[in-house]
Amino acid sequence: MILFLEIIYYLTVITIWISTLIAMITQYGAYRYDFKNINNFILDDINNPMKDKITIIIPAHNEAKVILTTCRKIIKLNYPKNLLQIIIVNDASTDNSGELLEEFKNNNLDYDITILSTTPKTGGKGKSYALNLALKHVKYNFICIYDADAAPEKNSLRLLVNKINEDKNNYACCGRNKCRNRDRNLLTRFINLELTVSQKVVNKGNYELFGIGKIPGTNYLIKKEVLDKFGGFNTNALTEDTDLSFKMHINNMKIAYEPRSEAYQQEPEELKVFIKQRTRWAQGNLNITNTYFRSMFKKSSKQFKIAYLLQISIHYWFIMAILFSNIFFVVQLSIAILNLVAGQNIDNIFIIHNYTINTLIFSWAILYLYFILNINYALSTEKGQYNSDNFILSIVYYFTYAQLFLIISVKAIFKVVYNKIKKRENEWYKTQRY
Amino acid sequence: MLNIINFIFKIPMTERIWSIISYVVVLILAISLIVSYILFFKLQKLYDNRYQEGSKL
Repeated sequence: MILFLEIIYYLTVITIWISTLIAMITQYGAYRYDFKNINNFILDDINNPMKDKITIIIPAHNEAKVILTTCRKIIKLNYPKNLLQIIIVNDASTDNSGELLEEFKNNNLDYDITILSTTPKTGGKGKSYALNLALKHVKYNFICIYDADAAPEKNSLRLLVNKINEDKNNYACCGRNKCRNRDRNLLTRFINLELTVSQKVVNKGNYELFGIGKIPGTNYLIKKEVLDKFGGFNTNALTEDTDLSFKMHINNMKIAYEPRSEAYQQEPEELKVFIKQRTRWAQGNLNITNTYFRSMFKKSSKQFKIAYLLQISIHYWFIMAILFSNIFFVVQLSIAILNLVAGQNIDNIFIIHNYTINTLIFSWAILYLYFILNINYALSTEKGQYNSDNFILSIVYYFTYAQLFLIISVKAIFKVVYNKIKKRENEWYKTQRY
Repeated sequence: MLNIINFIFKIPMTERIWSIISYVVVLILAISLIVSYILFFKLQKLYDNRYQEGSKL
């Protein structure tokens, strides 16, 4: 029992130290980015003449609730309409998305709009299939992908194009996403915090320090030649964006990050829907990290190795720190209660010596304070979000929302192992809209 | 557990050495945390939410 406790103790301390180190490094990167770019944040230079022609692709499967808002936002983009081709894939929808899209097309005849429709027999096989279908109709060299729930800000596309053109080695450029329904309930508020931190601190920090960007599922620009080279999107991957990012890193293709290019996206409003969506993401990321594990030990590019390590550190270390802290806390508490019930002296209830317990408590407290700092720093860069309500949420975030990721991780690991044993294909799950 | 560390890393890890290491690490992390908070407040003065487009849907 003592050995078990000691092992848990050391694992907890070490995972907490590693997580804190990772938080520290990304925080430093984000600070450096902001200090460097503080004078470029004012959007007054975005009326430069544009000459690049862009194909916008929007995959949509039963998206009647959101698709029109998205389409309206697309045509309001601050980008010359004669340089745009818009392809909307109405993928096996059984709602009235088809009629809404036809009506939208007829009302905007001055735009080059193509609507591709599939039936439940010919389509409905996931986002990658829909995107690959659209690729056959692409006219231009730059492709911009928006999800059906995306609502880009008017300058978002222009900023992506400007950024990708800054360096000829940029093969893709991603923007950032904001929570469209953040004030709906407690869950969406927490998701908003997570989204803000991941993009305003983690992605920004990683891009500044290592020049590594990661393609999100929506609001990004990519050169057509990249997709031609890889034969389109990977239809076997649940998270086609991570798969594409890794492929690009292996081939030394740079992914730029432009956090000023912003688009709204809708987030799950129910816990059940949220867990399903995140389990799919975790499952997809687990599959991809397993698939590319061997490439880490081959003569692959340095860029890929850094991206892979970052992916692992972000997704695994922090969850491990939460897991081991929880186990240690529960075991110690159980021992304390048992000892108290047995009438032992309270001074002797901790099996591990006091000074080692202090180390653990201090380490945990530092990680927790870093965590709160990360959230509040990210919030302070968002208009109207650095307020007392969000500050309180940032304090309880670790004890509530962050714990959900343990459930999600366990579910995802179970599904990955189960599918492997049963040799089953990954099941595509479409997130519910509101 | 310390014996396991001794065996793997071939360093004579005693509880005393571990406590020194852990105090040093915690001290470094604590200092960096304080520096991060100071930088955070410094950035706040510069930031002023300047680059948000912030349209309402």
